[in-house]
Amino acid sequence: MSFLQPWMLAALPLAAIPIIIHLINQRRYQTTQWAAMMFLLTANRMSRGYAKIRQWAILALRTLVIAALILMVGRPLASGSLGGGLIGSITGRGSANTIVLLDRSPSMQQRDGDGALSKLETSVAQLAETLQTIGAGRLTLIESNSARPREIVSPTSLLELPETGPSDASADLPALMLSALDYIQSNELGQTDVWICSDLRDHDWRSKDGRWVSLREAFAELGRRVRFRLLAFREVEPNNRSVRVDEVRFDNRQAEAFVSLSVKIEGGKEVVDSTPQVVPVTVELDGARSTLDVKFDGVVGETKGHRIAVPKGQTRGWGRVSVPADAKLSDNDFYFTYDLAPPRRTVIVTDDPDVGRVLQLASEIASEEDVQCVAEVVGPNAVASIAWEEVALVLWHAPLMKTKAPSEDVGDRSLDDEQRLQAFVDRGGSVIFFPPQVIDSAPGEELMFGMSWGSWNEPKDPASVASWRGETDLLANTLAGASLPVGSLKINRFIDVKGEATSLATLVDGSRLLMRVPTPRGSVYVSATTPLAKDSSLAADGVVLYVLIQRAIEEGARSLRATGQLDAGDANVEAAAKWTPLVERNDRFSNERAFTAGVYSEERRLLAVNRSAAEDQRPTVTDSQVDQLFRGLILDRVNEQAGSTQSLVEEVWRAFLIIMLIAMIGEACLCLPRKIAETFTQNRGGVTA
Amino acid sequence: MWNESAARDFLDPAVLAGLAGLPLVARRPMRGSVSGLHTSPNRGASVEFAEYRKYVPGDDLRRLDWRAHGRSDRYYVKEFEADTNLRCCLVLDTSGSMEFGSGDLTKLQYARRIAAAIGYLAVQQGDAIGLSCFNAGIAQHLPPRRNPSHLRVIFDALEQTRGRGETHLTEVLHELAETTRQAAMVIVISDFFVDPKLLRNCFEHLRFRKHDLSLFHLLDPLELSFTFTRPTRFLDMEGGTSVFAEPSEIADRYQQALQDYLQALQKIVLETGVDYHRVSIDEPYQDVLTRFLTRRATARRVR
Repeated sequence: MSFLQPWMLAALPLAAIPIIIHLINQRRYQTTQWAAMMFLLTANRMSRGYAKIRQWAILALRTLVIAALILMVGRPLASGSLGGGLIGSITGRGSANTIVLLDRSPSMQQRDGDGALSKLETSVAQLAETLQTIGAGRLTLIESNSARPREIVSPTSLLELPETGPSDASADLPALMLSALDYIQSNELGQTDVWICSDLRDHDWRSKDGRWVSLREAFAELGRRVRFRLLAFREVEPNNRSVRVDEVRFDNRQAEAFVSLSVKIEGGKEVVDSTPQVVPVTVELDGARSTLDVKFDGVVGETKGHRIAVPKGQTRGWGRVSVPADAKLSDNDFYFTYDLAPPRRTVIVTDDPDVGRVLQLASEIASEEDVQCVAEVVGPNAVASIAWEEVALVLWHAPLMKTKAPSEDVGDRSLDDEQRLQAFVDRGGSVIFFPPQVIDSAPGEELMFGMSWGSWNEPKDPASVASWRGETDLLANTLAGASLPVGSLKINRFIDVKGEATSLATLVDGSRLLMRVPTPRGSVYVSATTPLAKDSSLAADGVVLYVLIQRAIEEGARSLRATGQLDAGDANVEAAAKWTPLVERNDRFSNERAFTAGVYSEERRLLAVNRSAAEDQRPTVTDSQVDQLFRGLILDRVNEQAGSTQSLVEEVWRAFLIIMLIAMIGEACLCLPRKIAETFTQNRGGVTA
Repeated sequence: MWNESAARDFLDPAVLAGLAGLPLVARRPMRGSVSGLHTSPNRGASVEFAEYRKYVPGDDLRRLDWRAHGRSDRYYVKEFEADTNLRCCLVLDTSGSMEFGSGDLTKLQYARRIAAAIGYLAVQQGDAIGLSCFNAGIAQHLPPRRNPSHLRVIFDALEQTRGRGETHLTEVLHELAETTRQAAMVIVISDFFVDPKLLRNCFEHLRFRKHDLSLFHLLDPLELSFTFTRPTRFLDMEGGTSVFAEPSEIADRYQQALQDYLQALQKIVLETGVDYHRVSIDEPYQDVLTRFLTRRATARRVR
C-alpha cells in the first residue's frame, strides 16, 4: 500500500491521543469519603475480565478511529504489487523515471466479449490513470513502431498521442527493451520504472531471440535501479476470424480479364465445429464490392481460385477482402494488388560464349504468348551491374565465389556477389549453378549454400540418366502427363557435387546430375554438367534444358509479382511517407504509412501493406517463459483484460472511512451506560418485611 | 420551669403532631411495669375477659365468681387481660459510616430524627424509652424510663452523638439482647454495613429473648445509584483501606455486590421475623415513620 500524501502519516502518533487522555484522566482523580466500602471491596474482588477487555476495546477503537482518519487523509492506494511500497511512497512517490514500452501490434486491438475498449486502448487508459495517480516523474514512451524513446509531458497526454494508437506492424520487444536500455544508460537515469504493455504474443516477444540474454545481463548490471512492471493482456478470442489472401493472379489473356484469389479464413478455435458455417467475405476490387461465401469450420476455411472479372484493358489494380466485424478488427481486412506479369528477365553469368548462347536461347523464348522473356549474358566481372530487383532467374556458369573475410580485402567483389545472390534468393529468385570449366576452389571447400564442386568425371561411354523426379519440380511431367525425355540425355562429362541437396536426376552410376538445395525462400539448383556439346546433349536435346529453364524462370517470376505485397513495418519509413494512399485506415497518421495496412501507389507500382502472417498465429509466451526472460530482474506483473475499467491503482480511502465509522459505532456501543437507573429505582424506598 | 435551650434541629413539631394520632404498638406481648397500651403475657385487671380458672388457695377471694359457684357449686376465679406499657430501646449506630450523606442530611442526622420522633411518641403514650449509641462498642447507654423528663436526656444524648469509629454491630446486638430485660421493643437504626450472615445470629438471639426487633436500614441515594463519573479515590469513613476505582469500570460490579447484599439481608429478616424498613435518606422521615406505625397498628397482635 502506498499513499498519495504520505506526509500525513507523520500525524499517526496522534492516534495515541485516546491513550494519553486515558492516562491523564487516571491522574486527575477525585477523592471522596465513602461509607459503603464493603461493596467496593466486594466489587474489586469480583472477576474483572470483561470490564478490562471492554476498557481496552474502547481504547483500541478510539485509537483506530484516529488512525483510520489519518490514513484516510493520506489517500491510500490499493495498488497491490504496483505500489512502490510504504518506504517508496514516503521517500518520494516511487521512481523518478518512467519508461513505457508499448506493444501496438494488431493483436493488441482485440476487444473482449462486450468490449468497448481494445487491449491497446485499455492499457493506455489504465497506464495514464495509474501514472497520473501515483505521479510519474520523467515519462518516456517507446512504442513498437519506431522503437525510439520519446519524452512525454504528462501521463494524460498518452491518451492523445497518435503514437499510442493502433498499428498494423508487429512489435519487437527485444528491440524496445534495447532502446530502453540505451536510453537509461545514455541519460544515466536513476530509479526507473519500465512499464511493458503487451499481450505476450510470442511473435512480438521473440522469446528465442538471442538478444534477450544480453539484455538480461545488461539490465542485471543496473541492479535495483530498474524495475519492470508488465501489464499483460491474456488471450481471449474464441470467435475471432482472420482473413488473408494467399495468392492473387491476374490474367487478361483470355477473352475477358479476371483476377483469381485464394482467400483463407483462420479462426481462434482449436476444435472443429460440428456444424460448419458459411462466412460471407466481402471482396472489394477497385472499389466494386462483391460477396464470396467461404465455408468455415471454426479453425480454417479456404477458397481457391475465386475469379472476379475486371474490365478488359485494365493492367493493374487493387482490392480488399473483409470478413464481418468481430472482437479483433485488425485482422478482418486484407489488401492486395494485382498487376500484369513483369518481363521475365534472366541473367546468364558466364565467360563461355557457347554456353551463354545456348542458355540465352533457352531463356528468351517465352513459353506463354503474352509473357515477355528477356535474357542477357554478363561476365562474372559485370555482376555488380545487374538490376537484381527485376531478375527472375540467374544462370551461373562461373567459378563459385569464395567468401573472404572483409578485413582481408574490403574491395573484393566476390563478397558482394555472394551477398547479392543470397539476397536475391531470399527475395524468392531462382538460381541454377552450372559447373565452371576451371575449379579454383580447393576440393571439399564449402562454397555458397553449403555446396562445393568436386572433380570432373569423364566416363568412357556417355552416361545416361537412370532416374529423375517426374512428379514435381523442374523435371516434372507435362500437364498432359507425358514425361520429359530426360532418359535420352547423354552425359559425356559431369562433376561431383558435394553438399546437402535433393537429387532431381541421378545418373546410372548413382552420381547426381541435377539437385535442389533446400532454402527458406527462392530456389537454388545445381547442375553437374553444362550444355556444352562436349559435356552433354542438353543443348542438342534442347527440350529438357528449355523446360527446366522456363520452369525455373516461372518460379523466380513469382517473387517479382509479389513485390507489390508488403508486411507492415517492413518498408522504409521515409520512402513510405511519399506513398500516395489509395485505401487506408482513417484513424492513422501519414507518417506511419509504413506501419499501416492499406493500398498505396508508389511511382510505378501499387503496394498493398498488411499485417504479417505471423500476426495471425496465436502462440503466446507462458508465465514461466516470461519469468525466464526476466530472471534476475525485478518484475511485477499485472494480468488485465481488454475493456477492464478497473484502475491498476485505486484510492481506498472509502475503506478507511468505513473502518472509522464501524470503530465509532463499536465504541459507542461499548460506552453505552448500563441499566443503573433501573437498579437505582429498585433499591430506593422502604421495604418492609 | 421552661428551659431556654436552643431548638433541636432533629425535632419538627409539625411532624410530631402529624404522627401523634398513630399509636406505637408492639407486635409481641410486652412485659411492662405499669398499665399501658400493650398486651401483657400476664392476666390483669383490664375490662377484657380472658378466662375462668379454678380457685386455688391463696387467690384473692374478691375475684371469685359467685354466679359460677351458684350454677356449678364449684369455685372459679374470673381472669381479665392485662394491659401494660413497653420498654423501647433505641439502638443508634454512631459509627463513622453514619456521617455519610450526599444530600442535605447525613445518615446520622436522619437517624436522630427517627429516634427522637419514636422516643417522643413512646413517652407520649406512657412507654419507657431508652437509648444505646454504639460504634465499636456501646458508646452511650440510657436505660428505658417512662418519665417525660427522661426524654430530655435522650434528646441531649442524640444531639451530642457524632459518627466516628468502626461498626461492631453484631457484638453490640448480642450484648443488648442479653442485658435488656425480656420482651422489650428494640429498634435498631443503622446502615448495617455488616455481613448479613453474621446478622442472622443477632436477630435470632434477640427473638429468643422475646424482644420485638425493628430495623431502620438507612442508605444514601448515592450509595444506591453509585453515579460517579470521574476516577475516584474512595476513603473509608471508618478508617479502613482506601480504594481507587474507575466508576464506569466498577459500577456494574458494585451494583451486583449491592444487590446480593440487599437480597441476602431481606431473606434473613423474613426468616427471622424482623420488622425491617429499608430507607433511602432522601425520603421524608415522616413517611417512613407513618409507614412504620401504620403497619404495626394494623398487624394482628400476637399474645
